Amino acid sequence: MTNTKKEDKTALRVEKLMQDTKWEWARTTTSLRVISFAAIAFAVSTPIAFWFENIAGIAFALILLVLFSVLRVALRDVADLPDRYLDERQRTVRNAIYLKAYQYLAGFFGLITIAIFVTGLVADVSDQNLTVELSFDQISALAWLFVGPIMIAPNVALALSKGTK
Amino acid sequence: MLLGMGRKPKDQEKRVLNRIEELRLAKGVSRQDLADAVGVHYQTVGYIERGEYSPSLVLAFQIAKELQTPVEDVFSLEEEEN
Repeated sequence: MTNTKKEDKTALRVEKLMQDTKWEWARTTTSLRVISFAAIAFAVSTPIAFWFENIAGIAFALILLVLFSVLRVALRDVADLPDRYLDERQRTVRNAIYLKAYQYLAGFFGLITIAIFVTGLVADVSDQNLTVELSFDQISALAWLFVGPIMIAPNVALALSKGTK
Repeated sequence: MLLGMGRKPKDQEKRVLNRIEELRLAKGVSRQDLADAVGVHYQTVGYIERGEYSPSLVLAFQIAKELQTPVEDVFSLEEEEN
């Protein structure tokens, strides 16, 4: 019963979003690119901000969440909606952008993995043991290093693919 | 041995041409009305009309039915028209 109510509410929200014209300004190629690159910049800088200053990290994270929300509305939530709310073209587009998003994330986390490996190798060659002590802020930074990119990747991939059409 | 097998690159695939816009306007049906009738977003109808998206067989038959035209008169392969 509750589930049906929730589904009805979602269906209503999706219907409204699919017919929406208020956010057309955010749906132009230029706007989508600007919002996407801003979101990428904040996804990368939020962990850095958290590492050095908790308050700055929170401010950056909030801006990232706002950019993420704008991107979702501009793209009519196609990247995040389940199959039943999308038509066949939207499903095809959604499925294709997840491959792109995976490639972006693989590249990003691949570079981080290489950096960690090289740091460990340098320490090993110089006969040093790496000991890392982390404060709560720095643990938050590491969490945002994963959360930010994973959160925005599908929407950014969709926005940039629209921009190249 | 395997050379030449498999799928063609996307830019070499044949495009599906259609007369949806022509038939729709002749019947005075809006893009939104057609979209609602076949259960897709109105932008999807636009993508199909411009040849930027090839619909599934089911959707192609639904569109043809709504336009009261045989499916082969609505859709054709690019090669056939050249």
